[in-house]
Amino acid sequence: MKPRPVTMAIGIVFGLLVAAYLIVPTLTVIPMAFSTSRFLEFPPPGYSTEWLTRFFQDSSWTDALVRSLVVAGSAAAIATPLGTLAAYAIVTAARRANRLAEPILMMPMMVPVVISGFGLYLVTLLLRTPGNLGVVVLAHAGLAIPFVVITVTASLRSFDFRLVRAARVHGASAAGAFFRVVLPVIGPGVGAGALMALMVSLDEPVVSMFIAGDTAPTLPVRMFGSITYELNPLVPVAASVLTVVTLTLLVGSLLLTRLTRRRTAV
Amino acid sequence: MTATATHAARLELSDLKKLYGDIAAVEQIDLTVEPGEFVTLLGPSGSGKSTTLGMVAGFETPTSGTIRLGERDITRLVTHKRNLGMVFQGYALFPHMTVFENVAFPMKLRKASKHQTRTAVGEALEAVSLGHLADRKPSQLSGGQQQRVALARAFVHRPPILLMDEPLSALDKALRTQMRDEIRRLHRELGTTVLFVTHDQEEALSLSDRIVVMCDGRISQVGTPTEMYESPQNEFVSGFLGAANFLSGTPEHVAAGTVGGVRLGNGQRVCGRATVDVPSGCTARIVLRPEDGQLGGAPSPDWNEFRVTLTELVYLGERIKATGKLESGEELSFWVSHHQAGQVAIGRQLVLSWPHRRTVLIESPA
Amino acid sequence: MTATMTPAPPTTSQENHRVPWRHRQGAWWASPALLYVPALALMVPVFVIPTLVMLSLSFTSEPGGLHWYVQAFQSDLVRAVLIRSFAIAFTVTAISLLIGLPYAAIARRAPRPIANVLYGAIAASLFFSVIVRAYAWLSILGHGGPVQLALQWLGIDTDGLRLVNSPFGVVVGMVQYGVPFMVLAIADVMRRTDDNLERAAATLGSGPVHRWIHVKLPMLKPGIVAGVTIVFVTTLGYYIIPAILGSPREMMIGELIGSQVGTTLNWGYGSALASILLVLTGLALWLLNLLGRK
Repeated sequence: MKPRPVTMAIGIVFGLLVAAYLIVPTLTVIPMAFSTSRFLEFPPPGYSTEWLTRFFQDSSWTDALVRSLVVAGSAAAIATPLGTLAAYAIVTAARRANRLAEPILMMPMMVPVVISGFGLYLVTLLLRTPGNLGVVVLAHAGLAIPFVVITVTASLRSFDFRLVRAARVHGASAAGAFFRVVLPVIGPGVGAGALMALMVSLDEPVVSMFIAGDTAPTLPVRMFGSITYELNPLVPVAASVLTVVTLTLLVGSLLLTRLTRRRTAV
Repeated sequence: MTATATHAARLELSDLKKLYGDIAAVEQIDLTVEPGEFVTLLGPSGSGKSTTLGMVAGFETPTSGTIRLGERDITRLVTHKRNLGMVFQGYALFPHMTVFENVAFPMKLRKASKHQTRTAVGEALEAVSLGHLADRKPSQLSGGQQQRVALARAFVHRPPILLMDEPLSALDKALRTQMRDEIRRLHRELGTTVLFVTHDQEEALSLSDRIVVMCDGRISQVGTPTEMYESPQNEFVSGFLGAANFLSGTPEHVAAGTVGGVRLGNGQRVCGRATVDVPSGCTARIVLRPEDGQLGGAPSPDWNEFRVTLTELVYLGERIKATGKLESGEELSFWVSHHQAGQVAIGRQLVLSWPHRRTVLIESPA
Repeated sequence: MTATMTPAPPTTSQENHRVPWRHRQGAWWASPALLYVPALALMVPVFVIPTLVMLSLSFTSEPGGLHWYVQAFQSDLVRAVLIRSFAIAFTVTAISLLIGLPYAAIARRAPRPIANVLYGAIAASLFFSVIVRAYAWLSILGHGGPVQLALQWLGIDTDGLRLVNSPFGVVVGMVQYGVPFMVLAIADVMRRTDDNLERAAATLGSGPVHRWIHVKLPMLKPGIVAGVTIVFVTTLGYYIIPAILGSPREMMIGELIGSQVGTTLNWGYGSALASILLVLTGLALWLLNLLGRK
C-alpha cells in the first residue's frame, strides 16, 4: 500500500529528525576533543590538539585504553566460539533443550547489569579475589554472549541445512561438516557477532568498576569516574577515541552482514 | 568414462520400520535393489518415501529392521561412513566453493591424492558436460547447470549406490525432461545402483527399472513400469499412476492373471483381467484407463460396451477429455481425438467400448 | 543486532526447504544440545550463581532474616526511588514506542537511500558507547550548552529549568538509548508480516486508518511487546545514564544499588535492594509476556 506523497514527505522529515537525535549529539564529542577550553563547552570557543596530546601522554588514560582493548579482545575471543556453538544448538537441538538453555543465555540482556555486577562482586569477595581483570574478562564474555547468539542465530536461520546433509552423505563427520561447510558459509555472521562482543566489552563500565574499579580501571571506568567526580578536559578525547573505534567496528559489522547475506543466498 | 558396473552394490531393506512417537512413518518395508538397478520410490507426500530414503542415507535411524548395502549391515552406521552419493532436492551445492571444489568434496574426504582428485573431478564434470565451468561459483550457474554439478558431486567417488531425493522438482518442465534423459544416460554409463525418490509418475515411469509405489508408510506394489501401469493390483496404484475410471460390481471368482466377469448394478456383465485373486462375494473394482476407451459399439466379442449420457467436455489441446454418466450414476472419462469431435456433444447418448484385456479387475478394499 | 535489523531479501519458495532439521533421536553424545555446554559453563558461574549468592545474602547477612527487606520497605527514600524508577521507565517506554513505531514504518516505506540512512542511524546508535552518548548530552543540555542558549534566544527563562542533573535529562538520554531497540523489535516483525493482508483488507473496503488499527497493529503486536519489554526492563534498572544525566537527589533504583556497592559498603541492604529490583524486573517480564500471548 503506497502512502500519499504528502504523508510520506512528513514521515521522512520525522524520520530524519529522529535519526539526527540518535546520532548527532554523540558526534559533538569529536569537536570538543579539539577544544581550547578546559570546560565542557559546545560549540568550543577555539580548536587545538592540546588535549589530544595530553591524553596520549597521560599513562593513566593510555593504560586504561590498552586495558580496555585487551579485555575486549579476550572477552570476544571467549564469547564468539561459545556463542556460535550455542546458536548452532538453538537452531538444531530439540525444543526441550532450548527452553532450558535459552533463558540462561539471554539472562544478561534482561537482568540489570548492576545486579549481575553486584552478585559477581560479592562472589569475588567471598572467594577473596578482588580486583582481578580476569574476572572482568569472563563477565564481559558472558555479557556479550547474547549478542553473539542473536547475530549468529540470525545467519543460521537463513542457512540451508541440506548443505550439512550433503556434506555428511559425501563423507564428512558432524564436526567436519561444521568446519568445512557451516562455518565458512556463516563466517561473516560469526565475525559480526565478534564485533558486537568487542563493542559490548568496550562500552561496559559497571561490572568492570565493581570488580576492578580501583586496581585496574578500563577506559569506560576511567571516563565514568572523570565525568561524575571531576571536570576533566581529557574525557572528550577519550570519548572520541571510543567513538572512532566503535564506528570502525560498525562499518566492519555492516560489511560482514552484507557478506553473510550474499553467502547464504544461493 | 572409466566406470564399470563392478562397484555397484545390492541394497536390501528388511522389515524396516520407523516410529515417530506412536506414529509409524513407515513400516513393513521389504525391498531388494539389485546391483546396477534403477529403483524409484513413488508416492504422494507423507507416503514414507523420503523417510525410507533418509534411513538409507543415515539421516534417520530405523526403529527396527535392517539395511544392508553390499556385504555390510549399515542400519546403524553413521552417515559419513556409508560411502554414498546423493542428489538433493534443490541441489544443496556448497555456496562458498567453486564447481570444482564442490565436486572434489567427496574425494577430499576420502583423502584422495591431488592427482586422483583432479582426474576424477575432471571426468565427472566432463560426464555432465560442465568441464568449462569448473571455476564458477554455484550462484553463477543456471538451475540446470547446478543440477549437473550436484549429479557430478554425487558420483565422482564412484559410490556403490546413488540416492536421489526429488532431484528434478526444482526445475521447470522443459529442463526437467532434458535432465531426465541425462540421468538415464548417466545411469547407463555408470552402471551404478540408484534409489530415486519422486512424486512424479512420469519421472518414475520413464527412468526406472522397477517402481515401488508407497502409500501411508507401506509398500503398495512393486514392479516394472509396464507391470505397474498395466496391471495395478489395487485402487491406489491404479489411481496414482495415470488416470483411471473405477466401476464397482459383484464378481464371479476370478483368479489372478485370468479374464473373468463382473456384474454391474444394472445387471450388465463386464469382463476384465484380474491382477489379483478376486473372490466371488466381494466387491470388485473395474479399472478402465481413459485412453483405452473407444467411441462406438464393441468391434469384437472380447470388448465391453457401456451406454452413457455425455455430461462434460474439456478441451486439453492435444485431445478432448469427455465424461459420460452411466445409468447407475457412475462416471466414465475417455479421450476424444479432434477428428471425432463432431460425434460428441453434451447431453448426447453414446456407446463406448473397452477391450477385455485392458479392463483390470481388482478387489475393492471396502 | 545489525544482522536482524536491515530488511531481509524477499522470501522465496525455497523458504520451506530451509527449515533446519531437528534431531529426532540418536545417542545422547551426538545430541546438538551438548553444544550449549561451553556457553552454559561460562554463564552459570559468572551470572547464575552470583545472582543466587546475592539473593541468599539478602536473607543471611547480619542480622539476617527479613531485616533488610523490612528496612527497605520502611524507607521513604526507597519508596520514592522505586516510584521514580517506574515513572521514568514508563515515560521512556511510551516515548520510545511513539517514536519507534512510526520510525520503523517510515523506514520500511521510504525510498532506498533514505531508508538506508534511517536503518544506518539505528545501527550506528546501537554501536555508540552509552557513556559517550550520555556525556554528549551533558554538554548539549548543560549550562551554557546549545539547547539552553537556543531557549534563551527564544526568550524562555532557563534559570528554573534543569535540563540535566534531572529526570528530564535521564528521559532524554534513555529515550535515545531505547528507540533503536524499539525500532529493531518492530522492524523485525514488520519484515515478516504479509503485505498482502493489508492489500486484502483494502480490497474489502478498509481505509488507511481502519487498516492500521484493525490489521496492521494486531500483526505488529509481537514486535511492539518485545520492544516495550526490552526498553522498559533496561530503563528500570539502568545505572550509567541516570548516574551521568540524573541528580543524586533524584536517584533511580540502579544508582541506589550501585551506591551500596561503591560507597556505603552495606552488603545486606544492597543485596536486598538488588533482590527487590530483580523481582520487579521478573514481574515486569512476566506481565509483558502475558500481554504478548493474548
